[in-house]
Amino acid sequence: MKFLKLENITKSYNLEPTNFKSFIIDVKKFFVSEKQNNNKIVISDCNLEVEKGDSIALLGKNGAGKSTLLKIIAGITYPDYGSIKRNCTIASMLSILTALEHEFTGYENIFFLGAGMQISKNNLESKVDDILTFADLHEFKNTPVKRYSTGMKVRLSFSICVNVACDLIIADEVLMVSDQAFKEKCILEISKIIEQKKKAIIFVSHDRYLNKKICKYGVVLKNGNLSKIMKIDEAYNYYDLINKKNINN
Amino acid sequence: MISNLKKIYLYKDFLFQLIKKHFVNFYKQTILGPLLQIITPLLQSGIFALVFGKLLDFNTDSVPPLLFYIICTSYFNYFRGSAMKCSNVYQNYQGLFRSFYFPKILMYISLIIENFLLYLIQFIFLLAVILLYFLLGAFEKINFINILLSFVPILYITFFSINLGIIFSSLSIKYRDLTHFINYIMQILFYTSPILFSNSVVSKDLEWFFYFNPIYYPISYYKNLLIGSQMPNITFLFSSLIVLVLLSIISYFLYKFANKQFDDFV
Repeated sequence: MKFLKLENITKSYNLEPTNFKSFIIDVKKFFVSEKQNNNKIVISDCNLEVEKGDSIALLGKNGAGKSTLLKIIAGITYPDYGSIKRNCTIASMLSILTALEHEFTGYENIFFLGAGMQISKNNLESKVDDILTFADLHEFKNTPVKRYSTGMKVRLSFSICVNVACDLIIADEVLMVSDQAFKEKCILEISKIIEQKKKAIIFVSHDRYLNKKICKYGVVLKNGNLSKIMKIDEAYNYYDLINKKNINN
Repeated sequence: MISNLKKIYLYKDFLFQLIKKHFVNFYKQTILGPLLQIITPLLQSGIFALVFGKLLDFNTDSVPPLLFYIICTSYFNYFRGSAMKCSNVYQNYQGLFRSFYFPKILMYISLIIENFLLYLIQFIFLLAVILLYFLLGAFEKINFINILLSFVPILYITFFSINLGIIFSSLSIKYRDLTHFINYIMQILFYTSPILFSNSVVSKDLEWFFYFNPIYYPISYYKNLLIGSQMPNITFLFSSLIVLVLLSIISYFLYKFANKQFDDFV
């Protein structure tokens, strides 16, 4: 069974500023329905299927709609059109630094984030040691997270997502601030999980090395359109070709 | 409806964590901690008792002014606290909403539960004050069934405040200044409800005016249960219930709108 199936997903955003003028327009729209829509389409007619054991890098330049697509997958935002079928539990690492409760200790945050991802308390209790060991935060488990460095917060969040019993991990630029040693540790852990076909991952990063190490496949998002799933090297060739064309133009 | 309740049940652990988060955020690095829940209404009621009860000699239904104002303010403060906290949900917790999916109604429920628990602290203090006046002979009307029944108007105001909060928080996802209107509503309701004055001073000719105040009946009933204040006509209950039903319908649609559009605007 597919973990995730996106069909004809389209999403647009209104990029106009919100002020008195937009309020007057909204009031007018309320009384006279206007078909004209000035929204900018961020994702257009996008299809994607994810199965157990898949590791997919989502490639695209800034503003291509990668984060929006991840938010749609996570259920944080809704598409204008299209359908999403989720047959999995999702651990999302989208705005991980704001997800943590900064007054809670690292230990308490494991239960806070875990509960938010619908992981049972028993499951979390059995995983606490693994999470702290992986994040190398045993020493700081009773320290409030507000005293953690950004890197430590990322380590904690990432460790929770990787260690708890969820099916699909979606990560958006999570390892950007991590040190090289932790990045290598994550690459090893994720590769292990993917090889054992326990979970799937959709990964967004501008770090080519990380993408190639973590993901077997890649998809390219360009002008709101998603390419077909390709082997990661093919996906990068296609991505580079698009970028070259853009530079030449 | 049932699927929504199921969802809430599935997230019960997270609901507990959210309540814990609210308490920790409120009480960490404080000197007085939960004592604030007693000191604040005591100071507020003390000033009201001094100004309105003693200096201006307002009628307080033959009970000591301090007791009268503690009862009135505890009810109104619970209402105000719940509505105000719920009216800023999307602005205050946008980081969490953007991190992972969870039903947004959980945030409202957690804030209401937090506020109800804080109310219970005030309620215990209120009972202690009633008992003290009873022992001193200044108050003779303790009725334990009425004390339990006082949670009925609390239930009404809980639903009323969560609906009001949902409406304002949903409207403010696009136009943030709409949240400020709830402050005006609170002020209007405070001065037009029998909080500072007794129901007995309300002129029969002008009583119709209170049909526009949906908390007039519940607060009067609350006072009646605890200190035997005069009850208004039952028709005021119907007007309150009609307003509650209307608010619930509006808040249901606005919640659905905000749930889908939140990320587009906030």
